[in-house]
Amino acid sequence: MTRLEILVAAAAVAFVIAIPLFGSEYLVGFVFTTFLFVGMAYGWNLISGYTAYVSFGQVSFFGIGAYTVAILVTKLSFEWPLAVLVGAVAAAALAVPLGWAMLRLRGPYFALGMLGFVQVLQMVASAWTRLTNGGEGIYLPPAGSLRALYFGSAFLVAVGIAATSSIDRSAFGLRLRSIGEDEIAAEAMGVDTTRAKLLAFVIASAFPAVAGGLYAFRLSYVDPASAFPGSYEVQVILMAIFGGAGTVFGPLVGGVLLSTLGEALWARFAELHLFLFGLIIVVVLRYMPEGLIPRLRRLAASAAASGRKAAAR
Amino acid sequence: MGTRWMILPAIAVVAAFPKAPAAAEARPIVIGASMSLSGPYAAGGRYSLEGTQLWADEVNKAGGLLGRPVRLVYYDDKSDANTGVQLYEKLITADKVDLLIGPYSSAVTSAVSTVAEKHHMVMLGPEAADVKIYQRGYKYNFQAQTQAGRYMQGALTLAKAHGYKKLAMLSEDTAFPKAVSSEVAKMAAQYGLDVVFNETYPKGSSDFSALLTKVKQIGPDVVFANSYLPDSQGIIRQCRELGVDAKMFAVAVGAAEPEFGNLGSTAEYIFGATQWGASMPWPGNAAFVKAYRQKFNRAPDYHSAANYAAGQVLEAAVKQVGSLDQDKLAAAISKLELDTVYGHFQVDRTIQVGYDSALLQWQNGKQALVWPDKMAEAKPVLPAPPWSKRQ
Amino acid sequence: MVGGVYGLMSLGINLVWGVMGVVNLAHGDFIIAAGFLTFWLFARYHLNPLVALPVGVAMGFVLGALTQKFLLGKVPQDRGAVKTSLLMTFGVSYILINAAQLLFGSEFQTVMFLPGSWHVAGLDFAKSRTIAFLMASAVSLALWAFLRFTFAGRAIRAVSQSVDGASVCGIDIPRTRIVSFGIGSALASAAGALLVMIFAISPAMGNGYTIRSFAVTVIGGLGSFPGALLGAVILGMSEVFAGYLASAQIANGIAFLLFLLVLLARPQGLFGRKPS
Repeated sequence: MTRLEILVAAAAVAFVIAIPLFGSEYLVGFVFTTFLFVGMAYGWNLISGYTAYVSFGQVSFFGIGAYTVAILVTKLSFEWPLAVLVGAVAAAALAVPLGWAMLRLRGPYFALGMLGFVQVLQMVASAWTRLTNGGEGIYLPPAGSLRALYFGSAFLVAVGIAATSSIDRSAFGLRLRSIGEDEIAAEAMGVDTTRAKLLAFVIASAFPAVAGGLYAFRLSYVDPASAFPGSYEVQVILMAIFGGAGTVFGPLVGGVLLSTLGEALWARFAELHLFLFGLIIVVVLRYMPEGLIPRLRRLAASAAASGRKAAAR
Repeated sequence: MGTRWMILPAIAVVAAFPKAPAAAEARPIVIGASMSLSGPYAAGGRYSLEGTQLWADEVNKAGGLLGRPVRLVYYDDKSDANTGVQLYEKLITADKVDLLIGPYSSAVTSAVSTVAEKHHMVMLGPEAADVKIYQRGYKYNFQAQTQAGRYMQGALTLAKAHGYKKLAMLSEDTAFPKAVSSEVAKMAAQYGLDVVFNETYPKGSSDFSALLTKVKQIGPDVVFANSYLPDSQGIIRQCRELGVDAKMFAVAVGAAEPEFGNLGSTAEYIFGATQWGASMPWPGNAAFVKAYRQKFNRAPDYHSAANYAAGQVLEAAVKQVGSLDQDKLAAAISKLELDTVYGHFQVDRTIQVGYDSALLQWQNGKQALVWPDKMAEAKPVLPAPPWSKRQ
Repeated sequence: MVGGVYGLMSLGINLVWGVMGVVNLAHGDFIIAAGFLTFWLFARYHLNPLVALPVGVAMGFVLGALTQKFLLGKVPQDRGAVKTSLLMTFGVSYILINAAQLLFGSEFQTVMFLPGSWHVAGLDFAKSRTIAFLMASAVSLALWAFLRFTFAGRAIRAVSQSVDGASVCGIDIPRTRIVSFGIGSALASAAGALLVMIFAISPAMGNGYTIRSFAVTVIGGLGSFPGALLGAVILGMSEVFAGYLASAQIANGIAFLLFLLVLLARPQGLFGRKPS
């Protein structure tokens, strides 16, 4: 890493630590939620940003994480960090057969399938009352320390950045990108697309599961509707696309910017909030489909280029 | 490299949030609540909100509370427990409200109660009939609504008086309706009734035909719909469409709402639980109804009265304690007994034992209180004629 | 009988997907938005919902055509096209449904138009559902005639079979696409207007209906008219049976379960062509 990068990274870490020390409880809660979203955006980025398989499954794994934590904490008296980890493992375990089945479907079918899967999970959550209490939901004990949860979410983001960054530079990342470009050609060149896709899918599933688990513990309440919040899907995807799908910092930038925007709106103007997000998705896809970071990079590059041209004259 | 772009979000976040909360120079007492203004509970939610608003207005007209004006801050929780929780967190930590009032429905109140408890803030639950919420050992949450188990007492009494035997129940799969159905199931034998059908449907359902077909085959004497307004309407409507006959139809929530009359002739003969009526002789009730009509151009329903009454209780407690100290308020409320417009408020530990229920019936396109006898405006009409014989 | 309305929803999907290969995730939201519009016209202006139907249809057509013209049509047709248009319709779904909420409110609404039922031969036919079924059938028939006998209809069919062939024949491809997306949304809107007469709808149901519409299409098979209608009947019946035999919770999810099963086991459905 260059010296500038190390400096920025250190500043970021300091900033993250400073927030719970100096900020109001509300601020910590806000950043916590933002980090959850960013974490999920990283998950989505891994599967959909690189391989072009548009997954609408974030909410599914989120709910699995949420319910796992709720059940483990209330029925088996787990401590929440362990419960959250088990939730991630549960999600990954489910992702294996799910991904194997789903990823065989091409583009739109895969998307539809994942969309439908959320509804199936909701149905299971409502019907399996012995385990989940059905529509009544599960009540968790009040979350003791917001700070601990906060650091949990920050850790999630850190893992997201680290994982994406290393995958981005690795042969694995290259294989994923090749699938995104042209899957048939990639296969022809000998890439084991099934394995690569599946691995990305499984890794990606862990992120929303962790987010869901942390979220459930913070909220102290889980029911089929709150464990699978439909609006989170659009927000997560938008954050990743807005920042730049397939980049290392896109989800972070997109996540923070949009979360701050949403913060001003979600309580008072809920419909306007989602309307705006839908609008932004459409506008971004129409005029800036590669996302903010690549676009800014291009602008910077062309500015530098024209600067050099001007200097050369 | 991408790391440079991290500056952007950092600036955004810092800019959006002031460093520390501004010094508390706010003179008004801020009361926070979330309300179901959209979604399946919106009808009742709106009435609830209006009740609270009227109370706040009247307090201000009378000079305020502790000499300070009262200001109501509320958000729409969309009938969703999840949203409600986040909103109460916001109300407490960002808006820094001084007092809380609970949301609409047992489900949302239940989820939200943890937030209030966690922050050691008193919260009255005027729209939470499920007793289980208040059996968790919480100290700051108090029930300000009639217990779920008492809702259907009127209907059960009438059923027994007419010698009906078979009872079928449909309930929404959430806290309050299930509380009602489980309490009724426990009490049924006392009223000579046999529960022949007792199933739930997911929140937000519109199509009850599968369940109703099953009910039709059983041919019950009495049908209870333990539901909120939209599903009450849907169930009764579909009973008609599918020809599900019974001698008595009663709904837990919804019949008390004037909107139920949109069903037209289908609403005729339907009974509904209500915990309050405009004609009830509670102190201040008549004045409340008059003021409400003037302010909102429509008649209040029991939700409005319950919220108004919760305001009255809060007001009495604050005046008694002389401050906004939440612990002292909690202690005061636990011992308080007050005759509100809604009835006699009294809690046992945190469960409401003072409030009771009544029953109304839609007759000739209007609601009429038919039970208990001492408050009745009309006689109940039973049995209901079969659907095919109605216009 | 609700199957009739499902069939209508599915036809819209069939048209858009078959002709343009675009998966419109906003379909369910078109349905609900139209339903809300119908409700609003009924509640505000006491407009007979059957009269409001063409209004909803017209609105659906216009919105759909505009979406295609300015948004989807401009997506570069490269390998990322599928992903981009998918996400775009995803965005449109949020725009649409929240706009409807802002305009018409977010509560559960229904139009109590024809309560009660007719009793024929010992069976009860709910008036509202019967009328809806008849209207749905009428619209489906009209669509079939349109595709068969009019020039625009034949142009649509030509494009769905072969884009290059059609352009060689001089058919204006972009315009045909605009018209077919418009029709697809119009069909969804018709379904919505009918649906609101039968049930209470709320904005949150948009997603559920999108999945149901796709489920019907997938079960029946993409590109097949009779398949869509058969798929609708199958879905409608399974929902009722599931509710009857199991529980209401299961009935809610049966659409998606069937959808997934068919997708995995036999992606072309009953009568459809193999997915490209």
